Amino acid sequence: MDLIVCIKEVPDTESSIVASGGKLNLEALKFVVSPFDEYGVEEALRIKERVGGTVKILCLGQERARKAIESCLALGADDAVHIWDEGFDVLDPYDIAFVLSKEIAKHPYDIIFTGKQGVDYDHGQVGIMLAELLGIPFISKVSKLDVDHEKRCVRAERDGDEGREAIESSLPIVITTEKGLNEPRYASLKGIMAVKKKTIEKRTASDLGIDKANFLAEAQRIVFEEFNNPPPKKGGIVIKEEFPQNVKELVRLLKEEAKVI
Amino acid sequence: MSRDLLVYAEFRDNKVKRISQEAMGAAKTLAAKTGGSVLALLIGSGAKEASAHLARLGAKKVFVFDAGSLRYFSSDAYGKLLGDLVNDQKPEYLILGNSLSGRDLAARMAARFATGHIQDVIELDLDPQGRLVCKKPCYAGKVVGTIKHVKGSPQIVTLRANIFPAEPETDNHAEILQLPVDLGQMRVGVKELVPKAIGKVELNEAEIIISGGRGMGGPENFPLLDDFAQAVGGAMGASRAAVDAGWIAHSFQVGQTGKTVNPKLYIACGISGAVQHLAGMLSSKVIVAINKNENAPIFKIADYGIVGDLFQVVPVLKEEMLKAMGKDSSG
Repeated sequence: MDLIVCIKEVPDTESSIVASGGKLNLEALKFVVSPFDEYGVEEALRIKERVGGTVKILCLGQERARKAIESCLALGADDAVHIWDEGFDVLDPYDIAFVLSKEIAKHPYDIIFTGKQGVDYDHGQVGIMLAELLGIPFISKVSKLDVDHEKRCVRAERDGDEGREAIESSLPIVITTEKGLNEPRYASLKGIMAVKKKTIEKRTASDLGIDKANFLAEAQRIVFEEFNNPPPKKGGIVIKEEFPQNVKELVRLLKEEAKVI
Repeated sequence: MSRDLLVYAEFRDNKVKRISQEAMGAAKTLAAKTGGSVLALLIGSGAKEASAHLARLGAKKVFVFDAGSLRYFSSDAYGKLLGDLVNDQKPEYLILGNSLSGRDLAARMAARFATGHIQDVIELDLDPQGRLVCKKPCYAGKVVGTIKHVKGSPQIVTLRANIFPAEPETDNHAEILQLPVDLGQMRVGVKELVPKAIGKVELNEAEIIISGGRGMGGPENFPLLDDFAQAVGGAMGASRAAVDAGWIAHSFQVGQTGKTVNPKLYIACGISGAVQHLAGMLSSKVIVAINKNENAPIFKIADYGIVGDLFQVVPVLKEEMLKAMGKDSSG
């Protein structure tokens, strides 16, 4: 099967992120593959191991994102496309989906994986928008996937609003991945060494047939104006009484002071 | 240009869900500023029955798509009906709850109309040109982003649950329009649904959450928390440590890679307070921490803490809370 996995790089989730003067300074942080995207990489690799095919990594990101791409190649992906151009740092989810769709349209594909949302902005849109732009169905927030490559269909499970849903669809399809779909593997030394032999193709707007000036003029339907630190959560009190008086005192405080019960 | 707002409302058992009552509240507040009308929409099998409730929540018109084929949510089917209605009515604003279906539909609509969508909004404002200016948590809630709908129509938002006040019911009358359900060939659909246990409160709708972490020690101890949660009319949650250990399903996970919740009361049992967990619950109104380890980071952000053995504390806490709430503790 032809599998494409879209990834993005984000600051490591342990990072301290602090706003100053309405802005964020992320330069010094360590960047990693966005956690939800990792489930997509793993699922694609498992499908390839089971039925054969290719796993292509697709990433829209600045030069620094090469590390994230290489980490996916080290896990076993076959090759990658790295898209970047000047002005691409402010693209909104629709712009990103548009750019990705231009590249994807050049390749055969059965399943396109994206994470359900990037853990930086939690927009949660690129995968779904990709499906709409490519004119194919999507199933979002998938935590179990069975692929029948002969019948060219999938059966996915997810926790919907009303309960656990089992959803069927024909291919091709976009799947956005949720935690629980699989356990991502670690790279082996052999996998890491193999990265040098794998190809990462670079693309700019013009490589994708995009008129950059026009594209950027129309881009950014949503724009971040500033970032601020949330009001700090003040520490409260630890109730010092002995058990069980401390529990009774807690309930009294919840009722009389906090008024939540 | 229309100044109208269209609310995609969700329902269960003939009633509009609370997350949609909150969306109606937010829409009515905005409508007062835009001078537009609040239109509302229900899609699903049995939607007609919930339309009266939606009318009482202040909609000027309620559009209803009701058919057996709409029994289960389908981004394909629901998306087509919603998109056709948006195309027809041309509302300037499209407001949905930040549920799974709301998020799917909002993103799909944004792509269809090449417009912007802001997901998981906690604050909504309007600039002098009628453009929505929103706030949403970013980077696991470490910062709050102010983000504006600069261009595109409709302006789409999904609203985080338990933030916006629910619209109160009045004796408002609305025009109720039942529209034909014309689906054609749908490519993807739900084949089976294992419904959530009846009467169980959703994590993201719960006012009280009892949550367990590594300190729970094993799967056999989670029923203790579940009983507590049921008894107080709340829901049970879990930390990533408990989920990764295989003690409890991922659907209970609260945190950066789990659910984001903001109940009135969050009781964390045996949870250390890793920053990724806080991302999911820090905006709870009141946080209680019960942990054996007095140095657990969670005590730094908890409103009230008890250093102790949760297996000792929890049964007594349940009993005392039920007494204080005037509930029968034999339940």
